[in-house]
Amino acid sequence: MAAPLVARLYEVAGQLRQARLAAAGGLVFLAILATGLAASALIPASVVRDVKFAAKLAPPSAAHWFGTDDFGRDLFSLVLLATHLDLRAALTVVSAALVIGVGLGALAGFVKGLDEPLMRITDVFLSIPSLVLAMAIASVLGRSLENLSLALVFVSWPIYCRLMRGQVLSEKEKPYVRALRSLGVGRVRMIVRHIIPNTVFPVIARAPADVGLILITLAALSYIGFGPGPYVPEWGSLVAAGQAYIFQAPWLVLFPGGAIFLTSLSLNLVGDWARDVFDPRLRS
Amino acid sequence: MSPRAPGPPVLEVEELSLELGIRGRWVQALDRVNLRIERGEALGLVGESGSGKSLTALSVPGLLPANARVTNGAIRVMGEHVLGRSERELASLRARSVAFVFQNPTTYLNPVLTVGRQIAEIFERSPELLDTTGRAAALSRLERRRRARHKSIEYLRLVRIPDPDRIVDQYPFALSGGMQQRVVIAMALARRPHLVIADEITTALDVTVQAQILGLLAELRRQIDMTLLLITHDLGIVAQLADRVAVMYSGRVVESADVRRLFRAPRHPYSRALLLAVPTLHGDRTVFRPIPGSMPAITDPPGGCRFHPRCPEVFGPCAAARPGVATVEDGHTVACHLYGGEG
Amino acid sequence: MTVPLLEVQDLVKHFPVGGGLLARRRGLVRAVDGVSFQVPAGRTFGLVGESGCGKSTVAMLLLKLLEPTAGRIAFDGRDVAGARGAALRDFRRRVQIVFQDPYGSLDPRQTIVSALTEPLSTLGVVAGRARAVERARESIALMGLDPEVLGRLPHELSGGQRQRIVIARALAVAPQLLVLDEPTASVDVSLQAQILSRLEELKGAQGLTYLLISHNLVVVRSMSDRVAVMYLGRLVEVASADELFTTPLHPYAAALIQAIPVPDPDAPRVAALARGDVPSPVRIPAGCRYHPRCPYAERVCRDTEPPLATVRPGHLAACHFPGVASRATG
Repeated sequence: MAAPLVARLYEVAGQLRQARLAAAGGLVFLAILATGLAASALIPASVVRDVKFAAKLAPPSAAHWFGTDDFGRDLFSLVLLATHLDLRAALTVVSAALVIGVGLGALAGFVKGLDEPLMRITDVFLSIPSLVLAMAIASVLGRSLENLSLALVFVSWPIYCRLMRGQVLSEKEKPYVRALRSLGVGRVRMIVRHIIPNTVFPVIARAPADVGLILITLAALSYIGFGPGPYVPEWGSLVAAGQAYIFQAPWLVLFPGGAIFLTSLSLNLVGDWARDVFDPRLRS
Repeated sequence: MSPRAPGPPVLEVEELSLELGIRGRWVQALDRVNLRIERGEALGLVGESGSGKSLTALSVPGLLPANARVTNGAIRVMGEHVLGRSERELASLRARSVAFVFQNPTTYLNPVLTVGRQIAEIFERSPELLDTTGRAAALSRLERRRRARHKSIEYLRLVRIPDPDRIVDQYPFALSGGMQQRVVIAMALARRPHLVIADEITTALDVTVQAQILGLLAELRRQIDMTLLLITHDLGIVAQLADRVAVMYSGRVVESADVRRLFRAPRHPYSRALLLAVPTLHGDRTVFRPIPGSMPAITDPPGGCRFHPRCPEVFGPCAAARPGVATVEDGHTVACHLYGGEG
Repeated sequence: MTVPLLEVQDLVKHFPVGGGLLARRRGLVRAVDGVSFQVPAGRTFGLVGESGCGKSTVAMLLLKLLEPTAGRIAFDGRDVAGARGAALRDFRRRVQIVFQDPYGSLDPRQTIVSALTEPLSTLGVVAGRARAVERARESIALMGLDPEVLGRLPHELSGGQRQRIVIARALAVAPQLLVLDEPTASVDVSLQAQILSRLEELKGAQGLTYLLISHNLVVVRSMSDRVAVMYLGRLVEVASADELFTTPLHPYAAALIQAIPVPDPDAPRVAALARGDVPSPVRIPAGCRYHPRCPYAERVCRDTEPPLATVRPGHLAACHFPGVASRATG
């Protein structure tokens, strides 16, 4: 007898929780964003070259809030500086991959002749493990953060393309498309005004989660030696570098890793909520 | 119509009230519903969408949605209380006593098991159905399987499936909608339930196939004395199959009577209007007699009698007070101020 | 003699099964296999059949949402094949359809006012936003809806409201022919009566011609002047509504009519006349398409397909023994 009531309570609590979590996530992300912008203005870039081997691997203290790394540099400054670069890199990678993927996916869905070739191309990209692909591109172009970002765009666009194409294909068959055709709506108008708005949001809803993934991939690249190097402040490369000292100086991994974690988590929360806002009202 | 066997009524629903949780509020979905089905009887529960007929039916085997709560009343199957039972007890009830046949057979059948396996499963769960000598447990597994398959073919034959020896090994997708529905009915009957609840079982079927299924149900009623709760919006189906009819509107049973009485002399203005609104094939081109307005949303019901805004015979008390139930003749009840009544 | 508003001649639509880039075509769905009929202006023509008979495909062909494999469709005396650009737009304005699923027929993201005004601009019916909104408001009112629905989204409305909205949308462009594909399938009995009576009123007031497609014979009977019964891609009987329902000549038509449960407990129970299930249009039986299910089938029915021939004035049937069902049941 109590079961329906409890289920109801769960449902209501869940909705409230989602909204509050999403709001919290949003705030955290904005805070991180603000920190990144402030840091790049306030902290001199020369901190990266501020090598003092004598002070290396010092634990967190009043002088160095996050401790120092293996080069003796202040970890706190490094992590904050990295915020700006990492956010910029991850957001541009995901945005670019989205635009390319959604655009090509829509084309594949609409133009019969382009579907097969585009799908085979995405097959090729997807068959290569993302790290290997990124490494290959980075080795050709060079290991700067910009080039790594470019490499990651190549890695990320195929999934969005596939998703969008699938959405478009199924949307095209829906009864309202047929009804609108009989009402004189032409192909272009159909695509732009009706099909794309109905299909693009679930694809976009994936993006926030992918930002976290990009950050982790950057870390992985650094770990295997394809990172931008110790003179570019980047969370992933900090984590990779700190991995060797994980037992002596765990703060080297904890703080930059924590930054990745926070960014990823906050965006995921916002993404989850956004996905729910855009989708369920479309269901009767 | 078969003579009434003595014993408790197969189904008794007494003053059942139910609320649904919608958008954070509890709204009344069923308002003191009363139903009664004797052994061998077929009760037609008629209503349009939103009337509460499916909810009433679902509450019997305990299949209510998570956002439903019963606020009053009792349900008894063969004299035993159903409400408040644990999920295990309800599962046992569904396995033995009450068989529910849904509208869409395709979604009900397991697509990866043959039809025969699905019926046989029932016997594997309740092996006593296989054996009349009471020594079901003593049978070997092989013997049980053999008997289960044999029984499955028997039940397929009972529901008039042609060539049952071949069909028993078919998968659901190979069968048409009508055949699938027959299989589902066979599965329901295999349990030897006391009550079969059929919820809009022909709505998804073509008209000629529907006629076959209705004919089958009529024959089964005669052949195995099946007790049936038939839920439908189609008055023709009710006229063809039911002994008694209960008409529901917006969560209440507004009229309940013998089928002939209801069709010949309906008392409640809604029943009357419903019968007039249904065009028939008889006579000359029909005139449409629609009922103005539409059924109220349960989140925003009118006060007093829920039908009053659409009622052609509305008068004084209708907007203010909920009408009680009056007995106009033996076995014929109406919930309308025109007839007085209490409760 | 005036030209019928709609004329269909030997219409055929076959769909290949299987096939594609590398696979071989495995079969053919003969959804519409030679259908001919005429609809005079101002009348209601009913097309009846069960699932798989091809009636919805006929609707799609008439609306030029599908291209026929063969056959001719003429609207207002002119062949509609090959209509492009302005001619196609003009056709679309004059021939409209109300589909079966009102919720599916509306873009879930479009407000009702937008859904109604969009065709007015794509079909060039009215110029200017203000005029379009005005017209939308009129159409809504015509279907008995409150103007406040204009600002809503489809999922906020009830099934009955959505059904009326899609009808209003079709009527807003002032068509001459309105195809109604199962207009009451997803609607309750009391609402059905409302919508049908409204459609009947509007027909006279707006000078409309209806093609009513339904599996619900009762609805078809109550609205149609002339009715055609379709089975597996072909018409098996065509007659005036009254004649069809009082003396059906084809056994399938008789079976359909008998199959309707009558809301009268004392009406005689007639055994179902059609045996077995509705077959699939991929495997159409040889000879008369209906013979495997027909209780009156003879040798000739298995061998030869009967043509749709005039049995009585104005009453056609495709059967070797027309009238056998009525004679048998009296």
